[in-house]
Amino acid sequence: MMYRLHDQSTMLVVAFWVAVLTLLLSLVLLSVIVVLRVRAQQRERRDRLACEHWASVLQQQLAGLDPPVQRLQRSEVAGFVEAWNSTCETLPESSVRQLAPLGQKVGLEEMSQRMLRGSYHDRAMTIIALGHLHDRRMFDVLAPFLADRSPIVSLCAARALAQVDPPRAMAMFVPMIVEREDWVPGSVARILAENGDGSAARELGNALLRANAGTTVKLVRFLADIDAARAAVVVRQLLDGHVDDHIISVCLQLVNDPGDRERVTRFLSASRWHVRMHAASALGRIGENGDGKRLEPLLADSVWWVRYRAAQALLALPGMGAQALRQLQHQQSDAYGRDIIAQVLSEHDMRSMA
Amino acid sequence: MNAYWQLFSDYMQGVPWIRLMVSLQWFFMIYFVAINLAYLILNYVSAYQIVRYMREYRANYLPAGLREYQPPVSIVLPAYNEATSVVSSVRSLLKTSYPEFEVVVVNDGSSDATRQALIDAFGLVQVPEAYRARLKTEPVKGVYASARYPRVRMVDKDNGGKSDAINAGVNCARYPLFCVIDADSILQPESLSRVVRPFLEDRRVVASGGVVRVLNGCEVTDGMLSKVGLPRTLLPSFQLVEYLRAFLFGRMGWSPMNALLIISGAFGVFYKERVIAIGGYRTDTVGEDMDLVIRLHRNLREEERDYRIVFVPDPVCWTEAPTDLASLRNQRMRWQRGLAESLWTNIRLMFSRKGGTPGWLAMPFMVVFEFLGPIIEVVGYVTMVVLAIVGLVHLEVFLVFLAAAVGMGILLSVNAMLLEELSFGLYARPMQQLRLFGVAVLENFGYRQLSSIWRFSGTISWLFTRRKRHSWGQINRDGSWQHATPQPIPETDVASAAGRNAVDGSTHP
Repeated sequence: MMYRLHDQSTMLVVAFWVAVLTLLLSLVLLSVIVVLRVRAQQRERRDRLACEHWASVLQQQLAGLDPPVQRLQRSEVAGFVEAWNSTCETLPESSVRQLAPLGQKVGLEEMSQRMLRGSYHDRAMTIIALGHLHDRRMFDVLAPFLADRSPIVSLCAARALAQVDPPRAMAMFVPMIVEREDWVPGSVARILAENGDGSAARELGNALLRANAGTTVKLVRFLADIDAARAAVVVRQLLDGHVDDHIISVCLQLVNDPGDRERVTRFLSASRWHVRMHAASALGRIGENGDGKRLEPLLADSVWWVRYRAAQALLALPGMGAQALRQLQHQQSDAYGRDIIAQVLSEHDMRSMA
Repeated sequence: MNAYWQLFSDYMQGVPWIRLMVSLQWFFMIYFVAINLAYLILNYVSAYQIVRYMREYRANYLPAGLREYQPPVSIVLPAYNEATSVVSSVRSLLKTSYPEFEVVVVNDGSSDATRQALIDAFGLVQVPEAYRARLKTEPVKGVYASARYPRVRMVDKDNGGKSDAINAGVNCARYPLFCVIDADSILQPESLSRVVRPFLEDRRVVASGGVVRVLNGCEVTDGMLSKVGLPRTLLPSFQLVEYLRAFLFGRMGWSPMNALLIISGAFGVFYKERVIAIGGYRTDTVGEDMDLVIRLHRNLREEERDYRIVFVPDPVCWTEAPTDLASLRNQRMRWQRGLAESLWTNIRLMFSRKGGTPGWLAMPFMVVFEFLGPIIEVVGYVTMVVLAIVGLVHLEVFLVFLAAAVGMGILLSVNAMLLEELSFGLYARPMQQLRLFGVAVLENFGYRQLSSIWRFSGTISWLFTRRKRHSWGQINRDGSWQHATPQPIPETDVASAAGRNAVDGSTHP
């Protein structure tokens, strides 16, 4: 009988307390969940009502009705900020400026002091809201957030600063693009694209003068989005210089000037396949009828993508067309070349039918 | 009778293996504490990660980034005998808000009208595609494209199983990232953007997965999820709680340690060249999704590359859970078999010199708690019953142990519910939370034990038939969520037919 389980009291006691504690903890957690849910529902309802109210007030202001407003209550700040941000996002800058006096009147600036020290959500939303005030006095309030560890907060601050004082903002923002690996390129590009006074292009140009090979690629892409002519100069310099294949590939993707044909042609025989591929694509964009002879050898390239881009480039050349490419297909001794032309022609036919 | 029983009981208590069973109870107790402690630790790692993630991404603070900066994605949709649903699946995919993508449907030698349904619905015609067989597959009969739907292509091939179909799709994919999706999965417009986001933020990312949720009880409008709800019946409700546990801490907990071993086959995004470099999906396993992720770890670690395999907690994919026991049993046995195959074929990663956290932490965890867990659990139940029969366990002792096991089970489920509330709060009414709690309690009485027995059988089946070519699993789904569609479905969307059979190829929830 010495093995009877109920005699092994230590195990039993452990099991008993595990049962009691886990069940109690589960009930406590359930209560927390229900309380959180109820509170979230109340908060959502309160914020929704405030948001609806203020959205209607903002519309009246836009309609020139000058509605009577009082200073914001603490309970309606979140709803106001949401209405303010979503309304401003849909409006051109001139209309946003029309709303700015209302923002001042309700005390957005004062309320923001508390919210900027608040939760993450409050900080981000307030930074965006202050940006829409287009008030230069806000610059020093917002500037410290540009260096925030969070990529979202720092990018929100960059955008808000760019709305408040574009030249000063770009002078701070552009040098940081190189350092901040965590900034999503699409968002950076959007902030740069929204810049209307040319300061973004100027600062990018300055930054490129100081950039090394690695950072140049990153910056020249952004520059090409907002100032193609300025970017073309940099691209030419890079293609003429001795830079690595990755940079050459990026530059070839940005080439758009027919004057660069000879430059591009040099890379059709590069040792790295992605360079040959991008050179073929570039020649398809900027090439002339006679460039077909330069592209033809790539139809027999060992890499599928190079053959594919070469065939597409051939089709895109002025004076080429589907009929000429079909003739070229019959002249090919290489089966891969014939197959890839067949595919490109079929895609071309599909597009024509669509 | 009592005298005979007493004699039998006394005799049995002297039998050596019965005494061994009693001694084993300590082992079971220690294992029970260890497994639950391990899950709780994962839970808290996950909670920290989710709260941090939600802080950054809860709201769309910034205007959408320039769309040209989002990498194009090839969506690979393997299909086998999906004539009733494949067209609506493709239509649903075409509604995604992602800027640049293509849908490559792979008809894996279906014996029904899958191929013709696609041709008719999308006006597909065979094209002379210069198909590159970079991954070896069963013969491809043709590639089809459409003038009306330039994003859609179909690869028609001989039957070779789900992995083979995905490999053919990857061969045909044009873009650097590819996303594999089950034909019966339902997405949201933002699903793809969310799972691709880690690739934009960190260039070391080679694979990314998201949370799969149970679709039963939800509403789907025009191929997209429109309303979240709870299942009406118990079986899918149990699975819903399981999915919450599995994804919100089973996966999320491993991601920050770069030790995630599974990205669900139902929805995952991969860097194509990396997958091709390791030979694509294996065709001789039913756990092809888990196997792929473990092989990625193994190869990248052997090559000493700096890489990341990540998981986002966003609910990106919704799938219908089986509503009958037979289908559920098949699914669970299949998952367990897939787990065993994936772990066994990649066992070299475990405790290898370059194994890192996947080899030294995640693999041992999987072997001890996920692979051996059902075996130990089933043996535990059996010994408890035997000991009770021979009179070595009193009813009150049995009840105390049962209460401890149930308490731990409920605590883990409630933790997952809390994570869900802190993150997405999809079950918005307090009554829904109470109902989920009720399900979390009830699942401990029968469902958990049944699930362990099925997983145990899956392990046994793997032990006795080790090499088995991957075929398409069969699961009965009721498709009731599709009846809830409030808007008329285009006549080509034939998926609204009730009571369809769906194929299931994914490994784990």
